[in-house]
Amino acid sequence: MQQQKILHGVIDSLSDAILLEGIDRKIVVVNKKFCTLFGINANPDELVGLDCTKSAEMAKELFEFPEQFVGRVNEIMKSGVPIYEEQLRLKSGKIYKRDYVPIFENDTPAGHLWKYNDITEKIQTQNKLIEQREYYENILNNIPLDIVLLDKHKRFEFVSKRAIKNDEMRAWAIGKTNMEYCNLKPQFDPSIGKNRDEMLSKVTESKKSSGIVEKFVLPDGKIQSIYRVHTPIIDKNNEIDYYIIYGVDITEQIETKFFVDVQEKRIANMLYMLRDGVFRCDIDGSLNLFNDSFLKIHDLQRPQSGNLNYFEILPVEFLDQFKEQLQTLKKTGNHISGIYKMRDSRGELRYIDYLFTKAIRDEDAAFVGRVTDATAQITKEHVLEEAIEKEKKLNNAKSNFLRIASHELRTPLAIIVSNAEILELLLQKISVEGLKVDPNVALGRILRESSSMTQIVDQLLTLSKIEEGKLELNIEEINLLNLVNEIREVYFNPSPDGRSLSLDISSKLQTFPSDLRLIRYIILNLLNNAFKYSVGRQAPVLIIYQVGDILHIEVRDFGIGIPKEEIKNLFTPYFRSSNAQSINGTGIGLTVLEYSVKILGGEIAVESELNQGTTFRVNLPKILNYD
Amino acid sequence: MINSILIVEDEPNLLESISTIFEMQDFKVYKADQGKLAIGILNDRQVDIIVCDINLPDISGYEVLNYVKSERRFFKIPLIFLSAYAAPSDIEKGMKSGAQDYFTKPFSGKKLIDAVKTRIQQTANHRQNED
Repeated sequence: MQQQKILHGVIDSLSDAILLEGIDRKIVVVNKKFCTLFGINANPDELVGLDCTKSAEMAKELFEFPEQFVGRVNEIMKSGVPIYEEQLRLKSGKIYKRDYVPIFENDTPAGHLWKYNDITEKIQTQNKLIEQREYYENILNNIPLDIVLLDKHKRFEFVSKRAIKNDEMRAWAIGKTNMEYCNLKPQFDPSIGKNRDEMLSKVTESKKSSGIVEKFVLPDGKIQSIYRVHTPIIDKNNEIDYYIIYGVDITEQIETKFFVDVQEKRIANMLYMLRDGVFRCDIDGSLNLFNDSFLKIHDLQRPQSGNLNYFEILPVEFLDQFKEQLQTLKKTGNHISGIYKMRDSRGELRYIDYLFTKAIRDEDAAFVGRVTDATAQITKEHVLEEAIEKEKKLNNAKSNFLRIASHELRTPLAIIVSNAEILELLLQKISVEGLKVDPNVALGRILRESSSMTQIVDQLLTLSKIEEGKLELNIEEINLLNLVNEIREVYFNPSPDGRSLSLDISSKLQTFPSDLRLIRYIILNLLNNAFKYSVGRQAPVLIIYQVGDILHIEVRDFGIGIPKEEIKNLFTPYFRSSNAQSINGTGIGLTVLEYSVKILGGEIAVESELNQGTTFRVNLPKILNYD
Repeated sequence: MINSILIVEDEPNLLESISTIFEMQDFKVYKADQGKLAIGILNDRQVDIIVCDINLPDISGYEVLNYVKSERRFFKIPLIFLSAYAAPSDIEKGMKSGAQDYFTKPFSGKKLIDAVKTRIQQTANHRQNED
């Protein structure tokens, strides 16, 4: 009895509702909790011996489906097998859990033990958790990432729809390991599973997040790049609770980066291949980019370590000016350029042409620029300048000589000539008989040579005017017949060597508009040459005729001729043909002659046969409307 | 009647040479190696004709000519330039400026004597016509 009392006390204190009924369905034991759950307002002891069939009928109204409740109780008892955790819904919304155990005494059914619990709260909490889980799963599934959660044993706990698209496969994966999953994917590179395992080991050890780029060949052959991050989640005991693994598709970024890399490489290559030096530098002169040419131009080696500074490269004497320029550039934003010179390692002078501009959209540098080795060019320019300067000096010297020779010689000549004439006059008054040498002959020589010298001086004057471009024309109607006759009578009938000029003149010769002085010069010069280079031979011939508006002047001699290869040089100033060296001359006459013909708009041609003679032909047009 | 001639030439040898040529022709010769000296002689002496260099150390031959042409007492005195400036443009300029003749150096003494005599004669004829 005492024992039974203790047992009742224990059963009463249980949090479970307990009902033990006999095989006759009479209540054997019931506790307070049972009364509370089923709303029985009585002391449990008072219920002992009551018929459970009746109490079930009483209690059934509490349940959502009352008849089902009664039916199920009977069904359970009839089956005689234990039932665990059967849920029952009450009209009040509560949920009870029911366990049933048949009681046997020596293998003979002796009763039924029912146990009920109010699990409403538990279920509600559970539902809430499921709801939450679904909510978060939904979020995870909608994040544009492959997300996988692994439990602490590295088994799949959650796989987002993006990570495994196939629902069946996704469901299958839960609880599996990375390797089990990867082995199932034949298209996977075997290294992927291995790498992931290694990564997991790494993050497990370090307890720190880490990522790896995985590459997949897509069905269309394109390469997909996924950046997969493994993040261990640490619990409060500093142990790994689970892992979050997510993958980001970085194909586009990789492609862009690849493209940028390639472009950068190409540009870098281009910069390095340039013959110009290119660079970026800061306001303090530190160079943060430069190509090989930059070094080569400054005769420098690429530094093994440390930075180059432009200010240390530049020649000291140029530095202040350069820094000033940079400050100006910083303010104005234009470019600066110039040339500095420096000595290379062999001590030779180099000229370096530089151009700086402000760096735009480049936060790492203040300036960008290029340098060129301008030594060759500048040296060439110097040489050229020197040559030009020399040429100028020579030209000036020549012009000065021409001016002096054509002007300054005139006064001494005038003194010689006038004094010869004085002597000539004196000789007329005194007797020279008995003298061994006739002074008149000597005087004649002086006067003759003075005259030829005067001619040279006149030619030099004409040449100097030609060189200055100051030869002016004086056009008038020329009576050609008179001109030719005058020339013949004054100079060549006979000439000093005794020969007389042969004339072949067209009777139809009319007046001709041109420059008398120049035409006289042309004819006289041609005839002088013709006589000079044909001494002792047949006298030269002058042929003049007019066809339409053209005057033809031809002077033919039968003298020494001109070597064929030298004809082309005939009109070059100071040129003298090789077979005429022993004959006095300056090499100016034909230059002036050719120029005179040209200035009159005409042409000159030469035909010559060595030792047979030379013919000069000049064609001159009428000069009309000359201003 | 003895004619007088003023020779203006800064090169002493040439001055002497020209003077000799005219002295041998019985001219009364006045010599000047500077332009201002020539003007002084003009004012002090009776001069029938002037032979004048252009390039002189003080004033130019043109200034001498301008003085002669600007003074009523002298403007009828003929002036012949004798110059080393021998380019056609120089000669043209000289003739246009009012000189009676322009001789370039070196010159023919005979031709210069002829020209001087001709100009003196022409001036004398003009005077007679005016009188």
